[in-house]
Amino acid sequence: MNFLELFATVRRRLRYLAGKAAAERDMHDEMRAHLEFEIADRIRNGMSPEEAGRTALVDFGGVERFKEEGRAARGTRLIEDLGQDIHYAARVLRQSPAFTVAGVLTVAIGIAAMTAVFSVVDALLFRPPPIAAPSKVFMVGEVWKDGERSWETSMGLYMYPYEHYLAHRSADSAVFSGLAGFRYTGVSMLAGNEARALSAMMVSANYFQVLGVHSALGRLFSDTTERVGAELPEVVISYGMWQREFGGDSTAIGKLMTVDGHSRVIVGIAPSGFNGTEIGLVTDLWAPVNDGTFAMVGRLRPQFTRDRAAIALSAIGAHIDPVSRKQPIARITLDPIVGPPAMARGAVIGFVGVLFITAALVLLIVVANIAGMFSARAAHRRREIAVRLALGAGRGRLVRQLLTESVGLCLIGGAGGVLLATWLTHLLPAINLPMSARTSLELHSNRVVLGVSFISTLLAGIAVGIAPALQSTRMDLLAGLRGTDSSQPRGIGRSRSTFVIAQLALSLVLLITAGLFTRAVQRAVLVDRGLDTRNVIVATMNVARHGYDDARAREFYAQLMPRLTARPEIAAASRGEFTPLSISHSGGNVPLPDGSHVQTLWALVDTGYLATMRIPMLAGRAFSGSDTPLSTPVAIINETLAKRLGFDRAAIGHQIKLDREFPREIVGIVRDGKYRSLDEAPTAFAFIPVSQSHSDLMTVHVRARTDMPSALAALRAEVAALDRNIALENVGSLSSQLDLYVLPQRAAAWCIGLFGILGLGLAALGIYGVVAYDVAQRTRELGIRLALGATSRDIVQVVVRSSVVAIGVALLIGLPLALATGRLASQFLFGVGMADPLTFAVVPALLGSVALIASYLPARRAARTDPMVSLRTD
Amino acid sequence: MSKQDPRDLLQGTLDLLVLKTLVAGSRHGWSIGKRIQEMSRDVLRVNQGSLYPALYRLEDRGWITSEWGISDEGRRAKFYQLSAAGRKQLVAETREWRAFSGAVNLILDEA
Repeated sequence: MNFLELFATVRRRLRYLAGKAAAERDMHDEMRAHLEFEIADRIRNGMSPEEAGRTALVDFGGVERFKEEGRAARGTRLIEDLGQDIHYAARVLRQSPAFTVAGVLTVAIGIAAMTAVFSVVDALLFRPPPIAAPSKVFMVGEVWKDGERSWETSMGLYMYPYEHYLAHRSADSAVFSGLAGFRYTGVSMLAGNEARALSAMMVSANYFQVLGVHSALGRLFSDTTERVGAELPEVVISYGMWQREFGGDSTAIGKLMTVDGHSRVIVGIAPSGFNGTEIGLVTDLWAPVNDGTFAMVGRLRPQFTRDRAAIALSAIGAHIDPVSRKQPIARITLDPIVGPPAMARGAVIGFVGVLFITAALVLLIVVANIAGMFSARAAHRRREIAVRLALGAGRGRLVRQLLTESVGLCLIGGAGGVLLATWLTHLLPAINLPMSARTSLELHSNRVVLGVSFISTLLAGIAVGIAPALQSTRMDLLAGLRGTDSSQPRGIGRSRSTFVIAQLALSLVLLITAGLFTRAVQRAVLVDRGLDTRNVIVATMNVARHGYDDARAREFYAQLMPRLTARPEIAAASRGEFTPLSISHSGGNVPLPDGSHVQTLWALVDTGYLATMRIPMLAGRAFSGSDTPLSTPVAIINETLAKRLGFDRAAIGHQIKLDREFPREIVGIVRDGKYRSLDEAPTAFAFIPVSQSHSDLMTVHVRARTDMPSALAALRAEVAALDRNIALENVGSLSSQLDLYVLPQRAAAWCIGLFGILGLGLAALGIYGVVAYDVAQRTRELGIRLALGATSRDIVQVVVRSSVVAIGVALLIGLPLALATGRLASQFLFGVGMADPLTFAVVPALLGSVALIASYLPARRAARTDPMVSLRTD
Repeated sequence: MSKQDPRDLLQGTLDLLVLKTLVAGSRHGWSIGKRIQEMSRDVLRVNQGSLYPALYRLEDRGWITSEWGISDEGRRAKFYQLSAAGRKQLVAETREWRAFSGAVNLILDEA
């Protein structure tokens, strides 16, 4: 049946249903007309009217039976049944409001968790940026002969010198219809008297053209912009900035704005929601450049698939002049732009995976909980179901009916869950990370997210209903009708305790995972970072962007640093290239005596840096004013590098060659620190005096004497006194910036822990319910035991014994599952073992005690009842 | 709807016969039954009541359409008519039936 026919059939059936009364009358009239024809025919053939009437009716057969067959032939039975089921289910759910409300709320929590997590998954992994045909657009990367990919990375992107970009652009034109370059950077904009930090993208002029993005207003860069760039530099601003700064006024086009001390003319507004190709990064403005480094993004020509393009590109790459790289290109990679940047992909997918599993576990707990509720209720409805079975209702029909109830309940809960999730995701604040670009993740429920929520709701509904439905319709009819079927509650009781075991085991997994994350945060806080982070303010400034050449920049800092240290609010001040633990560091290979080399990171710092950051010297001296461009080039290395060089403490006085540079003399050795992440292995690191090199970008580190706000005010005042154009970027306390590195762990600990407690609560209620039900069923038996002289302790023991078994089974199932989850999450745990003894001892003990208390309460009540009362109840 | 049990064969045959009677023009239920009886020279007698479920099923599938009208005898009756899809179905089912009965005949003749 093709779609059109199906549609026609459905329409016919609906029309039939809509005019059902008319159709019934129709059928009746038609059969009567038939009989009249038949009778007339028989009379014509010589029968008496009476005989004709009688025999015609007999020959026709059962009118009602044929009507029923006729209705079935219309194919509308299923729909009619469904209508009936829904009607009946609504009545049943209305009749027990407490049950319904509890169920709906529980489902709402489960579906809300699923929806919220999936909207994060969707935003991070699946949603393409708003550009034309995103599946044809790829990040382009080189892989060199030695396996390295680039000299520099930024925001998780591999960066290449502008010349590489130009070489690719001409060499790869057979494969790409366009190749653009971009880099993220911070800029300052002068607004009134205040310099404001903005997130910007420096792009090749064909950037928008390659991505297929059209302006909301004005125009975007034309391909020629980079050639005329010098006259009046252009800028495109984001839709958000246009709304914020210009109130969405169309006269913004053509206005001048001062960016990094230079005037730029606003030529266009980027479309709403466009932030470039990297998920989660906010961009305020785009400016065309033709220098510096670029991440490369290309659009494949229509005839190329990703695989074919990669092969073609690698062949082309071999012929691209290797001079500026020193190394030939081995391979060219194409990474899709959907999802996180290639470098961060593993971590993001891992983290999202942990969240997703958590949400799935919560949903499973919810399902187990409600299945338990339905199971218990099925026990109460045994009579009703027995009556309906006895009256000839088909088992399938009854199962369908019971499933309609559970699915209906879940659908209401699911709708509530989606609303709850929408509210929750709006609560998530935009988190600003210490990077030169702002971040924000737009979470909204689109069709994909809603589809996933709907499907999980439906599956939950079926999972919740199927076991109780099958079980309660498979019964001994007579016993069920009499209401004395004593074998039945056991079956239902058993399946209920299965559900409770499932809930306990899953809660255990969640709580242990939360425990592991908490321990990870704890450990991260305790990790020795090799420096004193207390009371330190960091702020980045880029004087080169304000037209400072090297000499002027030196002059600027030569004035600034003494002014800072002279302030009473400031105990010490220094500048360095990077913040500790920032994701951007320079680095490269340092040759070892044996011909191999060691991966080393390095940073430019001034003379006061080691003292300001309180990094302990182990040997030698700190940098001093006597280290000048004219004196011997020097470096200070850390313990690890000293060890790798084979000198240990004796390294002082030896020479070291950092990458392509000239050799430097080692003058000092400092203690190891953490440079890129808290759980990194000991990393080789070197400090280079900024006086013997130069860097555009500098981070000022200020240690406050008493409080940080007044130190920050002093810093701002001194910078503004020297040049009011210069904005401080990424301002913050060092410790709070370092805290951000454990933010995902902290968030995971909170979120998973909350769900775990919720799950444990539900499981405790489940146990309580099962034991209470068990006690109620065994009132007589317990009464007899008491009458025969059992103490109340014996009774408690008898009753609690089965829950102890259930708890034991739950632990046996839950612990291996928790171990497996811990292994999955291990890359985020800062080396907290996945079998962390403390977590694995405390959490099961806690869970076991809560479950025991939940089963002890009803048991104690049973033990306290008067045996005479309990014997009389039957 | 496509369960395979022995009655399906009968129903299928009845469907084919009903469609065939409508080729010449529209008919009402009783005359369809009568016509099948006549055409088969009284060999096939359609159970009168079971004709209607078959008619509704054919209508549900869109092979015939119906409309109330007045019969030659001046009685009000519901008239059935072949649709374009029904004509196509008739051709297909006729071919299938020929192939089927031909095959059965081959086997019987062999013996």
